[in-house]
Amino acid sequence: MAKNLHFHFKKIYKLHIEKIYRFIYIKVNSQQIAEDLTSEVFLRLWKALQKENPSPIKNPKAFLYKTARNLVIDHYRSFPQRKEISIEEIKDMADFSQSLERKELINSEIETVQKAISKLKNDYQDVILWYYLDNLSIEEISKILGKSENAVRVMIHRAMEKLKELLKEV
Amino acid sequence: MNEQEIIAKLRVLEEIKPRRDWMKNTLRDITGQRTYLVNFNFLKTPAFSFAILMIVLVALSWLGLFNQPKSDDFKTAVLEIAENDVYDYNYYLEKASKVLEKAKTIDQTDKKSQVVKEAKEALEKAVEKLPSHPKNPKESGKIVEKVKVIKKNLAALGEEAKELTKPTKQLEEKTKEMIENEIYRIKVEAELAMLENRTLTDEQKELLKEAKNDYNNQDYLSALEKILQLTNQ
Repeated sequence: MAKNLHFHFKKIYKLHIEKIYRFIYIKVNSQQIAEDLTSEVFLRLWKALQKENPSPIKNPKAFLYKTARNLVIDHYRSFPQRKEISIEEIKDMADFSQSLERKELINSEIETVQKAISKLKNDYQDVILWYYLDNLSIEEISKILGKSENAVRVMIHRAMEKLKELLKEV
Repeated sequence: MNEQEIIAKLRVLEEIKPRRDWMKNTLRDITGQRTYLVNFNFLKTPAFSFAILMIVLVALSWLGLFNQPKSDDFKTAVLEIAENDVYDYNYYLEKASKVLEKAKTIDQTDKKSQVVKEAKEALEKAVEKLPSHPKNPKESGKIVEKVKVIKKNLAALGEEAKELTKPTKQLEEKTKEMIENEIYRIKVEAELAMLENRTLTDEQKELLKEAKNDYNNQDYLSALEKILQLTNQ
């Protein structure tokens, strides 16, 4: 039983760790905070899976994103001063194996996109990242946010329009 | 900027990745168990060691069960020796079997000792010519079968064939070594094939090159060690 649980958790972990980390990182702009919050997300999943009651988690992916989202919100409630993105940190965090010019180009692109995204309101950030980056379906997003699929579609559309404007500015 | 261009821009964020050691440590910290994110680390897991141990045990028990009474199938497995055969280990293994079979039917002591001497020479030659790396697993199986027949005949002769104990033991040892090499070879081949699709650092590439050299020189154990080193980096 314990072995199965460990195997099951490890599978989920390997499948989602990078995406959850990235989602949190983009929102908090700090490697240290992203690591702490991501650890907390998976620790909560591990604890939830170990519990017999309440019923086991039916959708671990939704659980992870929902927890990540809530932890980021809690983080900003505790530390309202938003940390500005630093290019040095981007250089450290990205796993690059490309040439120096390409590295610089990617660093600059990440900075631009991240700056624009950080100016979106929280819900818009989430739907953009989930839908376009993490390839979550409308249905999955609607379950995480507790909104109808139509509402999510509208939200994605509006978020995209806003991001378009912001990218022009940056 | 159209939507497609924005999506393309968003994709650059995929470059954001967590540190690998952090990922590994976090998983370990959460579950409280030692875990491996690198696929090849299963080489160090109890499951892998157990699998290898089982293969070796099966091979050894195969050799160890030779003294048990066997069915007629085994008697028929002792083939007639064609004198024009190639004089390789097969020839000498079969010769030893046939001679020992014959020795069982001889009553005269002087004639029997002559046959035992002949069997000893055949066994020593077989040990000398036995390959450390068989061509394929099927060949290993055939060799093991032949050694099995020899041991059975030797057991039937008892004290009269005492001088054959040493070469037979040597034959067993060499067969055991051969099976182990075969296990390592199969393992190394599988690992090398998997590594072909992996992105490696310069240091890892160097180790892979060395592992391939060891493999080409049929030093499978060294190749496996290099692969382990490589995957632990």
